[in-house]
Amino acid sequence: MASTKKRVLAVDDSTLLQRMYEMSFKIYTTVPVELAIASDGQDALTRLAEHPDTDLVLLDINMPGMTGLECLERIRKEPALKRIRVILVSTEDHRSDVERGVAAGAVAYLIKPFTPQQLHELLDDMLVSKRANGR
Amino acid sequence: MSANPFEALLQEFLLEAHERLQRIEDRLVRLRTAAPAARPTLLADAARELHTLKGNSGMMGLAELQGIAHGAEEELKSAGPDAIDVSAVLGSLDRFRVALHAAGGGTAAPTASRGAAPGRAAEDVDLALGSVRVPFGALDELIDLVSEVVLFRNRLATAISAGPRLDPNAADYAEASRAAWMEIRHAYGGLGRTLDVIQDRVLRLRMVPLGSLFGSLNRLVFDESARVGKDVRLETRGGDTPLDKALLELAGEALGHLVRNAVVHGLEAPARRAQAGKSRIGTVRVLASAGAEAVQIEVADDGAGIDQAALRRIAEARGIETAKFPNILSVLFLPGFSTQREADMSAGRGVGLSAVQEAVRRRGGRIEILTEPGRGTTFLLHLPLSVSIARALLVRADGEDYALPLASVVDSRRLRCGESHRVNNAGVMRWRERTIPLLDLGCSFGTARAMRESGYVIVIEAQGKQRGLLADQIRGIQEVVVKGLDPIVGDAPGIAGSTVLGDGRAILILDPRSLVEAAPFVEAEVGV
Repeated sequence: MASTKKRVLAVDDSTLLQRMYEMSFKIYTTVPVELAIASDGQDALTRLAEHPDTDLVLLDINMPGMTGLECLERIRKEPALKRIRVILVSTEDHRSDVERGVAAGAVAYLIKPFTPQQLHELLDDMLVSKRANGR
Repeated sequence: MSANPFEALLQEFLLEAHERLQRIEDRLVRLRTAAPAARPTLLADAARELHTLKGNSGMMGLAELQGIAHGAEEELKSAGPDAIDVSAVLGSLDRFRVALHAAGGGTAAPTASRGAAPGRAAEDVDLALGSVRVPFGALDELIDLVSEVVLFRNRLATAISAGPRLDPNAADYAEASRAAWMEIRHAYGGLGRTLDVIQDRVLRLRMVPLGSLFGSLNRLVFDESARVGKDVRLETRGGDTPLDKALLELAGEALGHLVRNAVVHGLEAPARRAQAGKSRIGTVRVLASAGAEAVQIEVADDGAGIDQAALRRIAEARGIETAKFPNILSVLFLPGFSTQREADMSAGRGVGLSAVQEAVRRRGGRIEILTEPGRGTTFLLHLPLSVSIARALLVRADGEDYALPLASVVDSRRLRCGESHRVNNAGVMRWRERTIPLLDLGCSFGTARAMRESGYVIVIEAQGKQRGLLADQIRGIQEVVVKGLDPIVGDAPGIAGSTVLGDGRAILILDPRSLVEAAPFVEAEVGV
């Protein structure tokens, strides 16, 4: 069962965004997804250590404590987590951060505000395309 | 409005936006007195929160809010790395709060009352919160408890239905029926215990941390101290003290008044403080703590204190009979009383203080004042921990039932013949080596004309004073759901509220505090 389900971790300190992810994933039907939520960078690293088989991380840039970029760098340094794809999430005016993030190894970015449809399209790209299957 | 896919999350957004707004304000306001080393963190926090506020507004499709937040972000940037003047940002935050209020269709979280501070009277959005956050753990626990209730009910149902099937002629009939009876008692006891726990947990769900009010106090101190030209530091402690949600609005209002009062009247101007050898920066301390039955909130200033002799002179000059006030400080709570020549109504003293005291009393709380010349003034605000449920002694006089808060009852027993005496036609009795006044409930509430000679005496204690209440019967202890009296009744002395009993009858809940203060009843027959 678990092997057919895609595992996604959404990281955001805002409970509003957490609920928005939950809502959006509930109506995402392309592939079965198990969604986990982390409320900050440290929490995200802990969850990834528990589940290194996570397929995709949606990572907010603007968080208290460890920022999204710092978290991304930590993920990239960890050999066990190397294959996990990371999408950075931010607002339009933090685009420069996003570019730094892509340089640091993020596969895509999602600009707020986004709609569930936009998120779904991105998920289709990331979870269903050939590249997402590893090889 | 354009279709918003996340419309269902509006409540969540409002709640979170409100919290972020408070945190931003808190950081900005603290900048004013913060040590230089602390400033960059405060600024970065404020900027990050503001950015999230903007992003979330955008996610909700609330373009106006997003625009205001964006403006505030720009203003914060242009305030420079030192951010000495953040008044433009604070102005934008005020506009954001108003727009947030509108977006929520009138729903906003309560804050400490800003009252009628200049230029923002219309922006008072201190409204009762329409929802609370419930941790999943608490919900899970409730679900477990409810399944326990179901189990006990099933056991009860089985035991009850088994009873009639017992064969009275069987040899083990006595034993079997005793076993059935025991099982019923067991299940019933378990049911009661579980329900007690559920009641406790559900009440706890209504509790919110008092600290949610502190953020707006920071802002209030910031605004008011700037207005009156004083430097004031606000210290808050005990923000995690839980308070019933229904009392939060009242606490916010009272705190707002008391803190504003401390800034405007309590603290001296910087020059006078310097003359008195004090720091030029005045301190207002808000300290909350929870006791077994009440939450205590202390609002203390390190100002000049209240000159009680001067207060007495002012009161007398106003034609107030000061002899009626053993504690002269209580004249501060008289409607319309102000010690300042140019009465500053927005500042809490005068109209404000009496209104606050009235509101606090109506909900079963009280306010005390302590003052020390030269050292400062402390207002102690006592609020009941929970408004909803109280343990009460039910007593009956002349066929009427009354609920007496159990916490105030120190003794109750049958009235012995000849035990009550009359001194100047008021009833008294000896109780534990002292003489205490008696109050006949029937006489007090108009169902009897003469003090009863037999029945029960219930000794209550409040504010260090005892009084014996006379009634016909003691009907037992019950938990009662406290309801306020309809405002139409006004301030009814001796009555704290009402409750509805299990059989649907509405009865009065007595107020021990005002009962011990009431003048001893003088019998109607006097002088006939």
